[in-house]
This record gives sequence, structure tokens and C-alpha cells, in this order.
Amino acid sequence: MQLITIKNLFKTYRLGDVEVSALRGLSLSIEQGEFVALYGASGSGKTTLLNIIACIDAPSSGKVFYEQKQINYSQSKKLGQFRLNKIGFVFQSYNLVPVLNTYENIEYPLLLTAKSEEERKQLVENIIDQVGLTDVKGHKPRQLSGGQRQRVAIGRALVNKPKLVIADEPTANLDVKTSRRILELLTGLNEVENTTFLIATHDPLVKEYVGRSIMIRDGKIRTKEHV
Amino acid sequence: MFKFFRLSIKNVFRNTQRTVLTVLTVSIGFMSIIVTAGYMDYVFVGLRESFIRGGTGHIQIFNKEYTEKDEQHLLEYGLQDYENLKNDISSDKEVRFVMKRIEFQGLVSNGEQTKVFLGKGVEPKKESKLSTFFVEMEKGTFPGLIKNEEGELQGAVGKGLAQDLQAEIGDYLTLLSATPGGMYNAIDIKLSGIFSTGIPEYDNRQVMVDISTAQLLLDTDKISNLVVVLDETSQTPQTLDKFEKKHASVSFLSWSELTPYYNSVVALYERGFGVLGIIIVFIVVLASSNTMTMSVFERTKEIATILSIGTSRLRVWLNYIYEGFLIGVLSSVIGTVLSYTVIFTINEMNLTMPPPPGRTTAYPLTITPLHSTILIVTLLTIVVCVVATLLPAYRASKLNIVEALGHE
Repeated sequence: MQLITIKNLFKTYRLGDVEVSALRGLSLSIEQGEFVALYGASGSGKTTLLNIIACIDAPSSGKVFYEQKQINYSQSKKLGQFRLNKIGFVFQSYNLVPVLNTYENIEYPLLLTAKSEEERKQLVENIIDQVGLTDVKGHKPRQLSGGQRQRVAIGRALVNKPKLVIADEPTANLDVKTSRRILELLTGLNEVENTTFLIATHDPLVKEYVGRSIMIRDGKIRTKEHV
Repeated sequence: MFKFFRLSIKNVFRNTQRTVLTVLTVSIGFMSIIVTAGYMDYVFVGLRESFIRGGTGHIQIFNKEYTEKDEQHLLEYGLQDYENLKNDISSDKEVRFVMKRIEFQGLVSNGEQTKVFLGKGVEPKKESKLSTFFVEMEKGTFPGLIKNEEGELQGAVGKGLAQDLQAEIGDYLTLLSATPGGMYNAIDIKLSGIFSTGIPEYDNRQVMVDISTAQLLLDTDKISNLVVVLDETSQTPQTLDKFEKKHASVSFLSWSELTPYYNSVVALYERGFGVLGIIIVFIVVLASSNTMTMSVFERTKEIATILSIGTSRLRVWLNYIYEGFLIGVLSSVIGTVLSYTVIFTINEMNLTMPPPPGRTTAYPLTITPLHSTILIVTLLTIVVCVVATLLPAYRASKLNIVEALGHE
């Protein structure tokens, strides 16, 4: 089943008097449960594509479908709810809330839902166990290593059981050993939970773990590799 | 709501040094308002009571025409046949006592020097109950104004007038005054008292005699007015209202109508206090607003992250409002503790303020702890802190997620 379908996507930014085309007629489909990597140089348009799929940016033209339903980018309130329920985010520099501990950071998306404290506790404990953070669940981000922080970010992305997790350079700030552990964790979760992962990266290591690699250059897809 | 309130509490203490500085600034502003208001209240109450006990009483009763027309001669519109009225007013449960008064003027002489005087005919025993605190009998007593056992008329003069006339207790003075009938009359009085009101202008002019002595001098059975003294000053408005409805044939004036000076002093102080209040509110707004603006700037990426996760813009806005509210509450609590500490310390130090303009006596510096004002200022502080947060909170809620995620 197609989870994401993108048709003829254009995105143009205005920088002063200059118009910059980040995406130039990009089309793409991603199946439910896929593990996809987006490769490309800086400025190739991969982050812009992720932002549009994540509904935090709107395309200049073109259409994006989620489970065959077209996303309406003009309804910002509905998009917020959509992101909360359907999409998980993992950022390059983790972007954790520094005043919250591991448990609270992972719990945060659930606070935005109507789930009871008991339900929240069950979900958070389960995720903490899955990402291997049981020993540090009371620690603040500053007390955690880079790898642990990224695990917290992954836990936060997955706690609400989204169908799609979008990760922008999730291994960029990590050493090779830690990167491998994180990627093993992500692939494991992909297999167990059937969660779709879409990762924008420069890291060649990621290719070893993903099911499909997509090369983007100048706002267009150049190659698609299936493993 | 509480789950996000917890997050706001954590955010308030994220940068402890900045929060402490902001809370201290707001608390000191809070304390300044409370201490100033407490001092002003003490001054107002002191000034009000000095007028009331200095002779004005709480309510004065006049012939209706006295308040409507100008007198052509002394006591033209004085009160006559007032005994029933006096008895009726005296029987009211709020009334401590009612006393007669005559105000007149004339010349006073010791045989060598003659001075102009302002005379007051009083009921000495009642007058002593009203005025002893603010009219100090430096020599003699109020009851000493009454005719003595030898049948001699007696009277007291202000300290300045006594000095001018080089008069001592036991000396004889002659009072000369025009009667309501247009004649001149003179009596001799034996000086039985020298008093001070603390106001040199009064002390240089004033003569006080028993009401019967004044009526003898003026050859009249009229009086200028009746002075009503109540148990509590706060009872004045409702008592006045009650009397006005019951006795429409005479005029009632309250102490505040009889003391325009008091009203102008209060207006002046309140204007000054208003300016101080505006400055303090401005400082509080700046301090809170600056803290929140810094906080939004520092947390730009974090706000973008929680927005991207699905937090509504309203929730982001509300979280900042909670933080403003918390700073307001915290500042009010610390401000209250500071205020009571400062008030207690000042009151315990027994400091003395220099005599105010036109007065000769110093007065103790006392600050009244105004509990109701603390409650009002607490609410005001919280509201001001929340209002100061509105704009930074709005900015936070309107951040462009993509741009803000790239913020370093």
C-alpha cells in the first residue's frame, strides 16, 4: 500500500530579489513499511522534500498524498494534528527539551493527546524499553551521550505509533559505532512495528541498512536503488 | 492544563539567574508600591484625624441659610432653638457626643498691647475629649476655661499670641468684639490656659473661651454650629445621610467638606503616587517582557521542534502565558514578604519625620500594612506580568517552523 505519493512537486524560495528553486518537478512514491534513504549534496533539496512531506513546509506547486488522500497545506491547525498522529520526527541535533528528562521527553507528544496518565505511562515505558533507555529514564539530555540523546529522540518520534518517521541526518553527529547502533535500532523498529522510515542523509553507512536509496540532485530524483 | 503547567514551572527555572533577577525587580516594584501606599495611608489618616480632632469633628450642623448666603454680621445665620435638635442627634447610637461652638473675632488687649484674635466659644469638657490629642494645652486645662469659683471669666490663648502679649497664667486680658446687634462689647477674662495646635498661624491668633463667656461677650443666645463627634470616622457617610433625611431644616457638612486642604493634599499625594505607580508598572513590564523575549529567542529551535511534533500554536502561546503568570505569582509572594519585612523594620525603628510645611511638630514615621492593597497589588502584578508576556508569547506561537528549526 502506498503511504506517500508525490506528484510533480515544485518549491521555490525567495532570497531577497533572487528566486531559488529547491524542488523542480519531483515525483515519488513510498510504500507502507519501507525504509528509504534520501541522498544528495547540501542544497540538493532533500531537507525541503522532507519538510514538505512532514507538513511543516508547503510546496509551491504539485501534490502530496498520504494514504491516497491529498494533503491540504492551507489548513495549519489540521496539519498540526496530522503531524501529531501520523508523523514522527528525528532531528540531526536531537532537539530534545532540555528541562525534561528522558521519560518526559518521550512522553511529550502523548501530552498533546487525550490519553490518560496510565495509558501514557504504559506507552512510554514500552518505548523506553525498546530503545534501551531504562537505566537513564530520569536523566536530563545534558546527562546523556549523543547516542542516548538520539535514542530519546527516536523514542519520542515513535511513542505515538506514527506510520511514518522522518529523520533528517540522524547519524550526522554520531561516531560510526554509535551510528550503527542507531541504524540497527531503526531497522529493528521498522521490521517489528512496520513503521515507514524516510531518512535524509550524507552518511554512506545508512545505505547498508535501508531498503531503498534515492539520490536527489538539483531538486530532482536522479537514481533510485532498491536493495 | 496541569501537565503543561509543570513544563512552564521547569521553563521558568531554566535560567535561574535571569528568573531571580526578574522576580527581584518585580518584587521590589511590588514592595515600593505597598510601602508607599502604607506611608500615604498613615499620612492621610493622620491628617484626616488631625482635622477632625483638631476641632472639625465628623459632622457640623449649620443654619441652612449659613451655607447658602453670606452673613452681613456675626451670627446672622447662627443656630437658635437648637436644643431639641442637639438632643435628637446626641441620642443616635453612632454619636459619641454633640457640642456647641461659636466662632467670632475681635481685639484682645493686656492694657499695653492690642492684637486681633480669632475666637472660639467651646464646651470645654467636650472639647477636651475631641481636641486634646492635637490641641495641646501647654499650660492649664480645658475645664479651666469655665468661670472660676470667684466668678471670674476665664480663657486660653494660643502660644504665639501669649508670647506677643507677654501674657502668663493668671493675667487679665480684655476681649472686645462686635455683637450681632452691631454694638461693641468687652469683657475681661483671666488667662487660665496657653495652647498649641502645631500650626503657628493659629497659635498667633487664637483665643478659646467657654461658650457662655462667648455668648456674654457677643450678647446672644445663638451659636455658630453644632459639632458632632462619632465613634468612628468611617461611620461618617451613612450617619450624615441618615441625619440629612431626618433633619431637612438644617445643613449638615461632613469633615471632608469642611477640610478642602485635606482633599487637596490627598489629590496631590495620589497624583504623585499615580506617577510612581506608572513608572513601577513600566519597569515591571520591561523586566518581564525582556525575560520572555530572551526566552523565546533562546528557545526558538525548541519551539519549532514542539510545533513540528504537533503542538498547537495556541498551546505554545499558553505555555508562555503560564510562565508570565508564574513570574507574577512568585514576585507577588516575595514582594509581600519583602513589604511586611520593610514595614515591620521601619515601624520598629521609631523613626521621626521632620515637621511638615506649616507645622512645628515632628511626627513618627509609621507605615500602615494595608492587607487589601497587597491583595490588589498582587492581582495587578500577575496581570501586568501576563500582559508583558503577551507579545513575546505571540511571537513564539507565530514562528515559522522551517526557519526556526535552522536557528542556532
